Amino acid sequence: MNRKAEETEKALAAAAARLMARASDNYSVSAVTLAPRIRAAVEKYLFRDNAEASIADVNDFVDKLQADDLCLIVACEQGSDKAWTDLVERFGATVRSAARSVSANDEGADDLAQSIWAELHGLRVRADGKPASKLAYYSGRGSLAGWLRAVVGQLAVDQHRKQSRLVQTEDDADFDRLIQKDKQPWSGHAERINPEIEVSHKQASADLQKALAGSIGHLSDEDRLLVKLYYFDGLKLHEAGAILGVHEATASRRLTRIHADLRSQVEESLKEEHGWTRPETERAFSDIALHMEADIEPLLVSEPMIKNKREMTG
Amino acid sequence: MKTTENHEMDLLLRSLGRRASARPGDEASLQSDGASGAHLDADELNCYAEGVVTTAERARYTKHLADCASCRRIVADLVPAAGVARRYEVTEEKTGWSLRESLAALFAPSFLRFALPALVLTAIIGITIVALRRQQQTDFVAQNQTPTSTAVSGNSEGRKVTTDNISQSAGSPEQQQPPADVKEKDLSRSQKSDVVAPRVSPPDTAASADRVTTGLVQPGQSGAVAKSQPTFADQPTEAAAPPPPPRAGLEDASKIGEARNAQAEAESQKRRRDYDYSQRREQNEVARPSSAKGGPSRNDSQNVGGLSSVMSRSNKDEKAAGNAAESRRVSGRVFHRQGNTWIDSDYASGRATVNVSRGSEQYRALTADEPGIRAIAEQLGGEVIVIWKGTAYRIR
Repeated sequence: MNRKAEETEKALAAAAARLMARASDNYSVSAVTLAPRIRAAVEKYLFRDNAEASIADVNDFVDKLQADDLCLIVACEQGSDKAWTDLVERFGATVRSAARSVSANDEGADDLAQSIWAELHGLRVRADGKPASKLAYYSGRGSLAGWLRAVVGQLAVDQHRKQSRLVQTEDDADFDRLIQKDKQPWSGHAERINPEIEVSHKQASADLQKALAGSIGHLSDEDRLLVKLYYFDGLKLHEAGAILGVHEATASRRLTRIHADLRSQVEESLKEEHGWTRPETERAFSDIALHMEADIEPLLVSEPMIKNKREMTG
Repeated sequence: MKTTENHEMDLLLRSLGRRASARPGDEASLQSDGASGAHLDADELNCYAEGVVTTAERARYTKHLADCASCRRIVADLVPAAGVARRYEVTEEKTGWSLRESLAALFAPSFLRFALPALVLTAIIGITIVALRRQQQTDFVAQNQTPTSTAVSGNSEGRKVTTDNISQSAGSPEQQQPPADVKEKDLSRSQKSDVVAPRVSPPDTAASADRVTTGLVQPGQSGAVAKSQPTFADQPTEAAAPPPPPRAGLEDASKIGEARNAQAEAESQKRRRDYDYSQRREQNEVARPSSAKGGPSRNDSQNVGGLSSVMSRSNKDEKAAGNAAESRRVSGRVFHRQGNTWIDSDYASGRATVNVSRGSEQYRALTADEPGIRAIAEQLGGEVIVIWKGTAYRIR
């Protein structure tokens, strides 16, 4: 072991002692037990991006860890009944709340919450005979409540994937309908236009969509994330801004700039790959936008109006 | 960029988004050139949502999230609940100007253009108020003193006043100096009546004796003198000169004896009056709340403000009771009510707050994590600003 590694080990041992001193209740966890956990967190987060991190950086990192939460989790791993009681009492409501937000009903939320507690206890057994609990993955860097929410979210996604493989969901039915719809470009207008024009429009639409998709892929990560959050995930601007750590107004300005960037990139792409002129591109944009507005209008009509229409026609 | 072009791109992106969400596999075509790698684990997702990641980590996670719908969905669920502190930090970053930036902003022309006129206007208003208050104070002194002296001098026992002044005039000449403004007012009155001699004059025993001799300070006539000179009791005029020394040539010894008797009687009455005044003042001080204690008011000192002082005291009591009703102690914290908002006593005005709406998912998450906040919000009701673990929450 070289000198740097020795110094790091000493610093980690000292930091573990400081962390235990900071905790309001350390559940009699020893510094020896805590040190490997802290080392794992330092290696995962600090040394990954900065292998030459100084001792001061290590101390700073460890001193920002959540002392109470980390001691509680390590004590739970050690099998402390008191720690488990405290964990369930303090975070039972958090787990229920998280499960409720990702479940369709209370029954599903209760099932999910139970699954979480089972995962935390550890359903499998490790090589050393101890249960393989998810608790081993909590680093103490963020809050324990947030980590539990993330675990609930991951478990919900896993369960959804498993169910999706088995059940033909309503989404799939919608998907099939959309496919059928996609096969009819310019729906609603197709019957009236010339077949040649129809083919031409279909090709133009496909080229435009492809160019747009390619342009989105070339956006910066932050911009691409904003586009995905807003247009693909259906979040509101303030919600997307919160994820990016910016104000709603900033997110809005960014989106406007992204629109301009995407448009210029799409125009450039169509010009290079398909030889489109600028007027052709502009006409294609306006035609497709007009067509999409026409497509959206029926969606905005309320259910009673549709019913009345059917009654009148039928 | 034109608005129409913006609108067209917006529609195109919405269309693309609808298709991608209907067919999740489509999103793969929108990924960047680099591979997004394995999914983020729960700890990394939580750190990102809570904003406790370094710049390099943030860039790495952002890259993954931009291409991974499932991780994005988890983060979108985490941020409203766990990202409250993160947004708070963002707000702080925005407001955290350096000293140089703050000074530059303070002296910027755009700021000075409005600030300077406002400052000048404020100064003018302030000076006007101070000047008006001073003028009113001066008027009050004159109004309060004149009736008092009139009332005393109008007493049937007019000789008491005379003897009082005689006894006062026995002191040093400095003690005879009345307040400057009173002196000037009384001087003008004296000049009008042409009765009083120059204001500050050395004790003229001969003149006094002559007046005693001629009966100017006769006990029987002192009332008339006082009435004709309302400020006589306060003025160090010749009537306030030291008592005349006994002279061998004094014709009427019985008058001197009578004057001495009157002096003794006046002194005893003065002591009694002082005693009564001090008694009333002590009673006032006892009745007054400790917070309202200060120097004696002008009315008290003039002993004509009994009613007004009682009224002012009752007003202060009501105000204090109102303040007590506007404060509540919940979960060991003191909250003051301002309008419809309960504000934590630890909250500093202007501090950035995290806004949380009651019934929202964010509120449920917050109260689930921190039951103490729920107790406070439910007990107080309405809008509440509470400081919790270093963060200011505005619950609506």
